[in-house]
Amino acid sequence: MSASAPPRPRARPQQPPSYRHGPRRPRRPDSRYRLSVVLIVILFVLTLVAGKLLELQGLNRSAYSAMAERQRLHTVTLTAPRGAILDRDGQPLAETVDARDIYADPKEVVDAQKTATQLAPLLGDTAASLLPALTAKSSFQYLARAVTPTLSSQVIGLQLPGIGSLPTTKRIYPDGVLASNLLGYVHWDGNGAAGLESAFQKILAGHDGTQTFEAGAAGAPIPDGHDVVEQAQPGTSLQLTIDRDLQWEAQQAIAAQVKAVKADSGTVVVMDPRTGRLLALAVAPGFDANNPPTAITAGQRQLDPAASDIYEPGSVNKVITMSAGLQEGLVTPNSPFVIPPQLHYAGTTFNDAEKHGTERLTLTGILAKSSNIGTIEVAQKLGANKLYSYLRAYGFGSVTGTGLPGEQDGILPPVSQWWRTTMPTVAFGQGIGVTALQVASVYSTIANGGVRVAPNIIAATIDSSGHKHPAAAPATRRVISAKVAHELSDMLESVTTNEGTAPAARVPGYRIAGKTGTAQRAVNGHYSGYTATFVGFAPADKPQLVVEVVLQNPRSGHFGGVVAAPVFHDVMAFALQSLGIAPTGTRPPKARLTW
Amino acid sequence: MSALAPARTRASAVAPARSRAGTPQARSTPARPRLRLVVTAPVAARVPFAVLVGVILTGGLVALLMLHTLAAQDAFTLHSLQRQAAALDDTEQELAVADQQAAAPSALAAHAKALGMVPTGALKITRRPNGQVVAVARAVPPPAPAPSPTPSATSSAAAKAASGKPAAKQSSAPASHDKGTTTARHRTTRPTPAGGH
Repeated sequence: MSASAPPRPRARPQQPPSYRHGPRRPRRPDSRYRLSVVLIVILFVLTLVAGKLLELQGLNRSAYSAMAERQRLHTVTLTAPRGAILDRDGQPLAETVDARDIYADPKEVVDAQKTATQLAPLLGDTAASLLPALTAKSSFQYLARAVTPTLSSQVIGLQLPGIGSLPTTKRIYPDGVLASNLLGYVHWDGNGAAGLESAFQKILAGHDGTQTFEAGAAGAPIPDGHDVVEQAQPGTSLQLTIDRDLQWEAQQAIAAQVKAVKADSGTVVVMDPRTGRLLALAVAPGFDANNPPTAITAGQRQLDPAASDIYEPGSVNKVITMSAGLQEGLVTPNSPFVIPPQLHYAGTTFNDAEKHGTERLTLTGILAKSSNIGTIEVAQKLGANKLYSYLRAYGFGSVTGTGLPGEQDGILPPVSQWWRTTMPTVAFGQGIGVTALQVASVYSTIANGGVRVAPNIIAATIDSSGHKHPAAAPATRRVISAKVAHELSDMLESVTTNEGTAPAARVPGYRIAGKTGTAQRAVNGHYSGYTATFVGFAPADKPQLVVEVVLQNPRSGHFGGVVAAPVFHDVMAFALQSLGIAPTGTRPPKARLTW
Repeated sequence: MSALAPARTRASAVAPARSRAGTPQARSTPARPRLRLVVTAPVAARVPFAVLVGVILTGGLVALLMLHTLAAQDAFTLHSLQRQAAALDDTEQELAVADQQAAAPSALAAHAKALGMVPTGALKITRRPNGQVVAVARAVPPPAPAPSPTPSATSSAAAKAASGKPAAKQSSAPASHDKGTTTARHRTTRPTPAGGH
């Protein structure tokens, strides 16, 4: 201020000339014209910019913002891990692990032949079989499904153009064939296709979640960027009552015997009569759950034969007739019966399995020797209605309630539909249809002092946070009195004596009670072949295990005491040993079979 | 400010003189005040301030940049560590699966068979006076000399050791019973080596 103030008066006179001398008069309209042209140009450009802005922000806004989001935002599915299926000790029978799918983008593949040669040894495939996928006219081809992450990183490590991997999961069964009949298997998408996998799909599956985040070009999330996670809800695990060692032994034993006696199939049921828990449910022939054979139809694999195969039980059913007679006070274990060689009833002639003259047997003797005629005599005292009510009380004609998929209730028509010959045949186990589980449950009832505990296979569910929720206690009901159960148990012990039908079932050191069954098989309306059964429990005076063995249509021998009892022996001996069940050290009562 | 203060004092000093000059008497006595140079404060005092602002702005900017860089760096580290963790998880899982597959009954049985072991078979069960239940495996026939090529030197040695003694009793350690230790007797009769339960 102080610097400019003094010279002002002098400077002013000098300035006007320079101001005036600049523009000349004729140029003035020209400059205005130029000004307006510039203005118009600027306005035009601004209009263009505004128009583009309108287009970007107004008209096509959603499309552009969606495009931008697509570039930036990545949404990934957070796969809910499927629950495992565990045995009673918590060992996995089925579990889900992380895996990778290897894919090719044939458009990106540079040298298909070379790529195939490099991939073949890793993927365990031939180069020739990989080539079609690498040269296909598409942009996505699977090369291998559900390989291990290590293998996948080896493949990716080759840095072959056009080859990539995607995360997925794989259901594995550590012991392929173990309990496969029970567990079932899963579809390629991981959803249950058969067995418990299918029956408990909703519980096992859980719910997938998603994560949406902004990521840079390399795929790394942008810090402070948009990141919304909807957590996956992992599936619930199932803990079964199955003991995997026992299951394995049962499967080995039945598979070997099915082969040895050329049977169509075989089933072993092991259960704890006190709790109804199924410790093993073995079926032969089985399959590898890791590679379910495609040759077998889905229907065959869908069901567990132990719960869904219906057959005529044969002589194992006699114990129901006997228990009804005892419970109703009509007979005692020593009641005398005269057994003729043949019995004529309702126009039909009934025989025993072995020809004999007139015999004088006690009730125990009838059971030990499995006399059909003697059993019919007991049933005649009982009457059809009583017999039917006891069959129902033991659980025939209704599902046992294990929750196994496809469980059947069997065939037990009401008395009103019985023919005159139905009563005697039902008494010794022909003319009704049952499942192996139902029969095992009958012997469990007797072993448990007359109280039926519903068979069950699910011990607990384990939620994703690891909390165990024990299954509801199984339903119980008294079928016969403890006294009658005890009498029956003593009678059943005589079956495994040398005079009985199944000495082969004996396990040295233990008291074994049981019953043979050799039933004629109903096939398409007529009888063909046999069903050989042995079912029993041990220790007879303090039962802790029930084992049932069923062989369908054995061709080398067919008597239950010959083909089924040895399997019973093997499985029962193993079970007693592995579960640490000591012999009771008592002696079996002297049974009177004749009088 | 400092520049104005002296100016004001100058004005106040001049004012009475001017008013006197307006009067005739004042014109006659031209007592003109002495002129002196006005001292102005140095203008340079503004420069440090601007520099300070500039430094703060630049510093803030740099700090912001560094923070962002660090955050980005952390994100990269996080990403790479997460990948590493995932790879380790994968390895752990594969090892766990391999372990489960090796522990599966079929695999165990096959392995035991390869080592020349046989199933226990029937047990001889005796009850001691003190109530202990003792289960002893009966002698099992030694495994056939060489049904298959032995997998390794150690296992063939074990097989020889086992078959060499007639008392190759598969003792019943797993079958030992509830009421107590089966033990002592087994340990004395058992071949000590290899297999081991």
